Amino acid sequence: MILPHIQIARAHWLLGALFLAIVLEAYLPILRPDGRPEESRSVVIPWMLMIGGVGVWATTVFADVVHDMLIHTLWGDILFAAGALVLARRRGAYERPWLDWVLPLAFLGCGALFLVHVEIDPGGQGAHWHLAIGLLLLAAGLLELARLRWRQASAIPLGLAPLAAVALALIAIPVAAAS
Amino acid sequence: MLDPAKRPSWSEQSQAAVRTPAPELRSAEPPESEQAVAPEAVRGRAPVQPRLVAAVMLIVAGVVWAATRGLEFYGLSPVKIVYDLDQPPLLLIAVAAWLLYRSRRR
Repeated sequence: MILPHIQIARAHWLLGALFLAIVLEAYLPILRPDGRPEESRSVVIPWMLMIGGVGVWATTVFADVVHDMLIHTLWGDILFAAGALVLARRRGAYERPWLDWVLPLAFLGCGALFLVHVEIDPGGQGAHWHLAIGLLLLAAGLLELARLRWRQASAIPLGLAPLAAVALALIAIPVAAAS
Repeated sequence: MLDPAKRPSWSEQSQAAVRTPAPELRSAEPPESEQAVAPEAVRGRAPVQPRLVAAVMLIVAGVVWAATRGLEFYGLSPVKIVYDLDQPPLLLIAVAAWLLYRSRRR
């Protein structure tokens, strides 16, 4: 079963909106009256990551190109694994220092897969956008790793900018492609 | 074989994996001396919530987008309602509504 373009566009901008909600929820703090960020143990983010993973993985069912099937499956695996690890931590079931690196590494992994996607199919539809999104995800992952490495105390992480750009691109590009 | 009364439960095992509080949560509340207090707090005003700012920007973007490109109306059956709502300007406003809901202090 192959979906028409408008349905593919709908799936992309829905996942883009979900990704936007994830990154804003993860990286925009709630400030207390004294200006300090409020701590959060909400399990909303891991659930959203896993729902996104299932959504991306479902693309495998409808894709008609083998590298699309493979890449979307791996994206789903990364998002689901990241969601599971963050969920375990936020429930208090598992705690290790390296869990700080889960989200940045997930962004790096997803970005690298975008570049692999372009490498396999350089002439495919939207290859330039795939390249741009991949580079933005890599930049976000590296900025977040740097922030963790040097413990930058900025209230809003720098990685939020490229992540929000990725989400908005996922929403806006299919609109142009479908119209 | 352990006496069932002495056998650790699953919940005890998972708790045993926890050594210290999550660093991200600890870093969210550093000692008073290390953390600069926002200027607004010094002046006695509540700080502007970043989520509120982002939500307002998303609502403005969604309204402008809807005004310039228009929205489609597909119908009122359950599937058509999903199509009605699954439009980029409305999705931006939905994310903004979500942010506003999640910007409440808990």
